[in-house]
Amino acid sequence: MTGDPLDKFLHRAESGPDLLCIQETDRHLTYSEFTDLVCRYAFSFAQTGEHPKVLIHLPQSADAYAAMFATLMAGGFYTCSNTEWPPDRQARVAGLFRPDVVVSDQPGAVADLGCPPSSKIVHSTKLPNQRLEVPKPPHDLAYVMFTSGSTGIPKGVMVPRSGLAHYTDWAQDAMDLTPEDRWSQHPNIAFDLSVLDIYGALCSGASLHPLTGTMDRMFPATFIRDRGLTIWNSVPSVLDMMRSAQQMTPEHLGSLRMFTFCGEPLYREQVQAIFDARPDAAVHNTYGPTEATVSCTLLKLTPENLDAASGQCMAFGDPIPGMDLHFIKDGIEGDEGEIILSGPQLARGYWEAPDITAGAFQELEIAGHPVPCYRTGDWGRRENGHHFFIQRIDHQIKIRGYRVELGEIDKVARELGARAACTVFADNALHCFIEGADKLDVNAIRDGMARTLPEYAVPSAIRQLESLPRNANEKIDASALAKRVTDEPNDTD
Amino acid sequence: MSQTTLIEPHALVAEALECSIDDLVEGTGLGAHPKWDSLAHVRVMLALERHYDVTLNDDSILEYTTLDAVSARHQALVNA
Repeated sequence: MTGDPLDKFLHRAESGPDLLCIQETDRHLTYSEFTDLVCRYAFSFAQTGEHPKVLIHLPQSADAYAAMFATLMAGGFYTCSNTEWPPDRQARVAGLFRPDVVVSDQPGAVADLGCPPSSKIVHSTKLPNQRLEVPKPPHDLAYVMFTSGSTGIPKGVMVPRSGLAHYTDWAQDAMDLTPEDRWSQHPNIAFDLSVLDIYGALCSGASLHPLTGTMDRMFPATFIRDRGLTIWNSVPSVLDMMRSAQQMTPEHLGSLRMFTFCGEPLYREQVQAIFDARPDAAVHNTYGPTEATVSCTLLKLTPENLDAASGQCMAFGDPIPGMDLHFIKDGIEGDEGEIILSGPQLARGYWEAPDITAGAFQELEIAGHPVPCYRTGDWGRRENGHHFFIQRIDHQIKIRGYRVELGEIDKVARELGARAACTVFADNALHCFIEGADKLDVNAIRDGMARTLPEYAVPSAIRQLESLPRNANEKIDASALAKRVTDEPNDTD
Repeated sequence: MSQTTLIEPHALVAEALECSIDDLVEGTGLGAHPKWDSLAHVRVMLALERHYDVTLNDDSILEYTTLDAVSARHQALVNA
């Protein structure tokens, strides 16, 4: 079945009302029970008017997923806020989005997040019994996903409902999804990798299993074994957690039929560890920015093609049907260059940010024709028929799949008293070098960063130098600082 | 558990972090030591389960995030 994700979900709910839909730690919901939750949320959202803007401020849970489908049913669009973000970041996202409705289990959320006083707060414990039975006319957008921005202001990627439909169609076909599947839900809902879990599972009649406890997230393979999961989706670095726990074993991973990865480079040793435990498992490596609706390429890895698909990281595959990918260098398409994407999954641009939208979403000439494209800022290469990610062009990196603009960390360091700052990613960690006229209180700066930045963006080490190294153009020499980290790993200054 | 077989807390944490005992300063812990990240914390917890009889669960993972907490567990076992 192709088409709108809400229609797909409602069709599945009707054909299998008693099937397991969501399995939380302490409760489970069937498709019938979950649909009831969706319809009651939708009724509540629809009361606020046409096309409600909904801010979902909840951890991974049945309520969060229900609020997403309910928003689509009410003809609106939503954004998700990570409840683990520092309050400043939550408030920034809420302030930019200015929601009509806030879905939260915290009664003071509207005021705490700095939302307009007119915002309505909704939670399942206070839902009306009335249901919205007939979906409202849809808005063009499905959701707005906020990511790191170099200016310190998060960028809201506006994903159209048609793009989400295209992506969900592809996932169902490429992953051969069925109601028998038991699917992990590892990424936070404010990270778009979660979109694959939520729409992939619930549009296919499968069950969804959110990992919410500390133990589950630290020992994910135990969770896989205990729940008998059939599909695992995460950033590749979660495999390192499993390996560190010595749980990449047939006993722990025996129920899985498929692993799928996105969000950061996948490495050969990670895939080999899977095949050592499960040589028959399907392993999908995918690539794509939030601006192209989660992912838009696929490589099906097998023990047989592992060698050919190995570079400095694993190849990420060919564009999925309907999407296209180009390497463009100095305006000319070739086998190496900036990765340029086109096709129906492209976002509509950035939320209320026409300037940065114009910089990233451009009409480019491809094979002699003007084509609407997204410039990823990723550098890539085609080699022996495979596509490889090489590096970022700018100062953006990814940690556990989350985008981090190094410039955002530097900006916070300066706001906290540093005269100059430069953050580098070296030895698999963030290192922030600061310069100040007097001795700065590094612990106070670390505490200040922890109040402002997400946990994954707080540097592992902060070092004050008398002066930061500069190149001939008087720019801070980031490569010299990275070399200092690798040459003197225990230097704490 | 006999006292003679009990690994010292500094040695236990250093092995889990794959660093020298000399790199462990007082007050160090998860996020405060360059090598004590979430990946290394998995190894710290497995070592605590193996050597200090700690049950792995949400509470213990959040409790043993500092060298002081590991040392306190060691002391409790010594005193037991």
